[in-house]
Amino acid sequence: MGPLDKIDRPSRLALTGVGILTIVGIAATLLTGSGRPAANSATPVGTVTTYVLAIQAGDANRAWAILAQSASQPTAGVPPRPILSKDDFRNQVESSRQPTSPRVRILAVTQSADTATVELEVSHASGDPLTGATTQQVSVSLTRQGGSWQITSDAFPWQFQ
Amino acid sequence: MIQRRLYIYIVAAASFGMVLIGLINLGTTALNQLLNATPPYSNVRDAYAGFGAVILVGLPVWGIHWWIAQRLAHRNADERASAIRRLYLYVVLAATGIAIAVYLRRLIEDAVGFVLGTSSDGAAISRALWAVLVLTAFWLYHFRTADVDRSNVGESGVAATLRRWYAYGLLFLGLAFLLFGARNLLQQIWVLLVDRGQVIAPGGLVPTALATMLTGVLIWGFHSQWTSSAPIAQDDQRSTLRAVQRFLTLTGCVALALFGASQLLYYALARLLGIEHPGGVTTSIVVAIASPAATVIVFGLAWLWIQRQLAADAGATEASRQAGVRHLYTHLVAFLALATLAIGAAGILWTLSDQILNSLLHHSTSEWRDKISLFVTLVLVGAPMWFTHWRQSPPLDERHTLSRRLYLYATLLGSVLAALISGAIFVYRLLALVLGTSDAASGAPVIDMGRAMSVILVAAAIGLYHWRVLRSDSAARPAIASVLGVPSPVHGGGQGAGMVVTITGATEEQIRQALSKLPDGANYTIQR
Repeated sequence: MGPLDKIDRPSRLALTGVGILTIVGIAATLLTGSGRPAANSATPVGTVTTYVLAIQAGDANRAWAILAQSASQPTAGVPPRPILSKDDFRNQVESSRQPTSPRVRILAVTQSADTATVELEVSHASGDPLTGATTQQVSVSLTRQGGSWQITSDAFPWQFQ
Repeated sequence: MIQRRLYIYIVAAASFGMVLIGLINLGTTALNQLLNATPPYSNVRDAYAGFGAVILVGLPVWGIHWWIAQRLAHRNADERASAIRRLYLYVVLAATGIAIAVYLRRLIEDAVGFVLGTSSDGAAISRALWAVLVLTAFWLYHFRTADVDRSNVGESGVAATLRRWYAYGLLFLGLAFLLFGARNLLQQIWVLLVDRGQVIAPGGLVPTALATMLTGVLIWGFHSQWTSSAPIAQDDQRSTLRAVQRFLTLTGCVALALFGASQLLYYALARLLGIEHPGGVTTSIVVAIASPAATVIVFGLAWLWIQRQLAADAGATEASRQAGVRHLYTHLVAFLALATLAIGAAGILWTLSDQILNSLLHHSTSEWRDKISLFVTLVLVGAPMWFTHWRQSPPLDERHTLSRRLYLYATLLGSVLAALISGAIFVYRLLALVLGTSDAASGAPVIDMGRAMSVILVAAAIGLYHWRVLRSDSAARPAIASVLGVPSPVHGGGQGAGMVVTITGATEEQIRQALSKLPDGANYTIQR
């Protein structure tokens, strides 16, 4: 009698279910890479995708290149904020890296001729047994500069790490 | 003797904890250095000195005390069978078992994340692997020691109870990991598949859920097999802890399956009533239903599975125990279903009262369709569950069961407390209205009184109904008549003729259960 023969039928069904879920879970994660929006600066979604993937890969230079010069500059009517240099940004990307990155989904995109806003849902794994994740919404503002889209909202790399 | 045992095992447990902490942290510090990873300690030399000292002190102390304990156990069977020794062994097994679950989950999460490209911290895998190896080695050693003790001197009384606390505690933990992991994984798969085009980065949610589920399978699988193998299975057949663990799990599964089903129906009803974002969900409804659908599927299946396990457990015991388990199950589900139904009914009345009173007072009315969808859903889920599990006039053997009385008194208690609290609020707001407090002019007390009355009506209806059932049960209980003279025994006799049967060696409840199997129309009186 093998070890599997000792297991009762419901437990064997449970183990089969676990096996199927494992395979489908891995396949679904791998498939996501092929179905996600193209990472390019021709569209607001493509720009945000490039930024998020660069941040999660720890590529601070690529992420910095997508940020508009005004992203960290004080604007009229708004209290002045500390100006983020490229080195500061790189340090932030390196120091905020987490072992497990969050899931990032697009919720909505609003676009006009030269400006756009991309609403994102960022879900971090958590110990909450009911949901398994904590979710927050992040709004990313973009502007068109010379035919390509660049991010103008505050660069908080830790949001996507 | 006891003082000596206490001293040896307390010192052994404390020093063993030091050894484990030292070994795990020293190993992870060395691995961080080897792999050039960011260490959690600012000064690596400090870490080496600190954890090295912990091991240098803890290891000899544990070694000496454990050696003494083992030597005494070899010489004396009483020492080996002592409850203090078993307490040490099962506490160590439980602590290391839980720690293994935590580190194993982390190991699988990091390894799967690394393979799928959602995690980049390779050093974390080595750290978790080291911790799992150290913990597993010590866990196996103590498990083997407990097994040898059991083989040599047996395990009964307190020692067996300690083993059950460990085994069924870990079984519960493993099953919780398995079910919540499976639920979260199913939810993540759903989101990734139905909303694939909108997902920029899948993140580590799938590896995390997968790790939780697989850790649960390992912990639950091992302990499930262990407790269902001889001689432990026979020993635990009538164990109360085993039944408690299964009923606790069942309660959780029923509650979560009902919760998930309620949420699903609520979303469906809300959409039918034209609510775009029921409950304030910001995402599309197809993505929003991933969580309740996964909850219903996983915990609904677990409900059926555990119900069958309970039936199988009862099947291996005598008929009265089978019936007891069945009654406990039906009354448990009936209680949860009634709670769902009551919240739904009170919520509907509350929302309607708000609408009517606000209209009468010319206040702006809030959005009602979303709330009505939610509460109607709770009624739709709770009502059929309650009607299919509750019987007002069951056969006599069920009528006087402990589980039915627990159900009735728990329901009565809940109803009375709800009515009391709402009654107090009603009177408080009525007095506020009469005395003209600061918010009386706005009509706020009237709104609050309407809400309190909604709860009172539902609580009173449920309370009165169950009170009548309780009285009816009491009336159906055959009277125990004390008789002065015992009639002469009659041997034999046809149908319709009275008989006197004298029974000894059985309790009144057992006699009642045996008599409940008499044909319809048969009457009996129990006399002492």
